[in-house]
Amino acid sequence: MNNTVLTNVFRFLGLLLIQGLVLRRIEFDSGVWSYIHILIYPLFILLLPFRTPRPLVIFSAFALGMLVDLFYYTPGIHASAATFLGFVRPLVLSSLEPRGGYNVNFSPTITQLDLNWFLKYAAIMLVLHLFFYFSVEAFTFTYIIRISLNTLVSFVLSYFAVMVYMLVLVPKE
Amino acid sequence: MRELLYVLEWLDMRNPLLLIFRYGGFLLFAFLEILCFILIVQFNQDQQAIFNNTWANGTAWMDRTYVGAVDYLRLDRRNDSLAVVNARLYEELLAHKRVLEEMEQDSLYPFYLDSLFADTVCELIPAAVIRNSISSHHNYIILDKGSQDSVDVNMGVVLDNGIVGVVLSVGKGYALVMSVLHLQAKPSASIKGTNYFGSLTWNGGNPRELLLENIPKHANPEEGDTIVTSGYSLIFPKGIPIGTIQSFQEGDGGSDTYQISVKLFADLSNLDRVFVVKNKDREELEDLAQKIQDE
Repeated sequence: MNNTVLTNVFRFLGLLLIQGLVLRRIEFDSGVWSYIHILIYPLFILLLPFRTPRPLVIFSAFALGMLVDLFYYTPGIHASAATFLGFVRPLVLSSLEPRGGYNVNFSPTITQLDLNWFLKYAAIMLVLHLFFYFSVEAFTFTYIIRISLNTLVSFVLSYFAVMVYMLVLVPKE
Repeated sequence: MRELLYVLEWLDMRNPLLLIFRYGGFLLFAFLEILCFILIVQFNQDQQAIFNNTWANGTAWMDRTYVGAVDYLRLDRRNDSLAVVNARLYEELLAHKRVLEEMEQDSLYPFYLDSLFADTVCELIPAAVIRNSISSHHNYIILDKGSQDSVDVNMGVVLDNGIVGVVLSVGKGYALVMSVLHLQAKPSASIKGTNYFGSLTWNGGNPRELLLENIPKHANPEEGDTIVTSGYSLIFPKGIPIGTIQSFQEGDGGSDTYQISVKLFADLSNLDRVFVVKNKDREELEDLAQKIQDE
C-alpha cells in the first residue's frame, strides 16, 4: 500500500521533471514540425491505480498540470487538459474493460494487462488530452484545422515517448 | 416510480452530503476547470485577448439587438413626430410660395417688403388614413384625427403634391372626408402663374384624372402646364400643385371656354399620411361673407 503511494509520488515528480526540464526544450520552429509538443506527463494519470478515489485522480491531475504550467509559463492551460483527462479516465477504463473485469489492487500497466490493451488505452487517452490541450491553447475553434494538425503530429511523438518509458522502465504498479 | 423516489431521496435536505458524494467527481472537475479558465484568461496574453474580444463582441451584439428591438417599438411614435415636422415645413413652404407669387405679379413689391416675413397662412394637422375607397362614384375617406385634434367640418385635406378632399363631418377622434374622387366634389383650381380659375370635377372613371371646367380660351393653356389650387375658397390654401394638363377641348359651357383634362400627381388609391388644412383667416373671412349676405 505504502509502496504504491510512494511509487506514484516518485512517478509524479519524475514525469514532471522530464516534461519541464527536458521535453520542454525540444522545440521545432519550421514547417509541420512547429506543431509538435511532446507531452509525457499524462502517463502519470494513465498509470494511477484502479482503486484511486475519483476526486483524488482529478485533483492530482490538476496539481500535476499546474506544476507543468509553471515550467511552460502558461498558467491553467496544461492544468485544464490534465483535469479533463482525470475526469474522463474512468469512462475510458470502463469502455475498455476486459471480460473478467479489472483487478482493483493493480494499476493499468502492460505487466498487469497486456500490450495490446495498453496500446489502445494510451492512444485514446493521449488523443483526448492533446486535443483538449491544443483547443484550450488556441482558445477558439476558428483554428480547428491547426488544432487537429497539432494533435495529430504531437500524438505520434508523445505516443512514442510514452511507449519508450513503458518498455524501458516497465512499471508494475 | 422508483427512480422518482431516488431523485426525492437525493434532494432530501437531510442528506446534502449524498449529492456531493454521488457527483463529487464531476463537481470537482467543473470547479477545477472554472479555476483553470480564470487562470488562463488572467495570465495568458493571447487567450486573454481572445476572451476580451469575444466578450466585447457578445455584449456589442446584445446591445445592438436590444436597441434594435426598442427602436422597432418606437417606430410608430417616430413616424408621428416626423409627420408633425413635415406639416410645419409644409406650412412655411406655402407661406413663402404665396409671398413669391405676390412678388412675381406685383411690381410694387419693394414697397411692402415686410410681407416677405408673412405669417404662415394655414396650420396643417397631420393625420393617418384609416379607410379609403376609389371604387364607387361617391368616395369617402376616414382619418384618425377628429374634433379633439381641432379638425373641423369644411376643412381641406391635402398632400404635398395634391388635394385629397374636404372634411364632411367629425367625431371626437375621427373625420369623414369627401374625396375629390366624388361626383359632387368641385374644388376650384387654376393654371399656375395665372388667376384664371375653374372647378375640378371627376367623371367617375380614371382615379388619376380630373376635368378642369370653364377656363377661358384666352388663358392659353398648354399641355404640360401645372394646375394648382386657386385659393379662392377657404378650403385649400393657394398654390398646392395638383397635376399637369394632359389635353384640352372646347367645353360644354360655351364656345369661349376650354375643358381641360388634368393628370394628377398623387395616387389617391394609395394614401397613408395626409394633412388637414386649418385656415387661420377663416373666421375673419366667414364674418366678412356673413356681412355681405346680411346687407
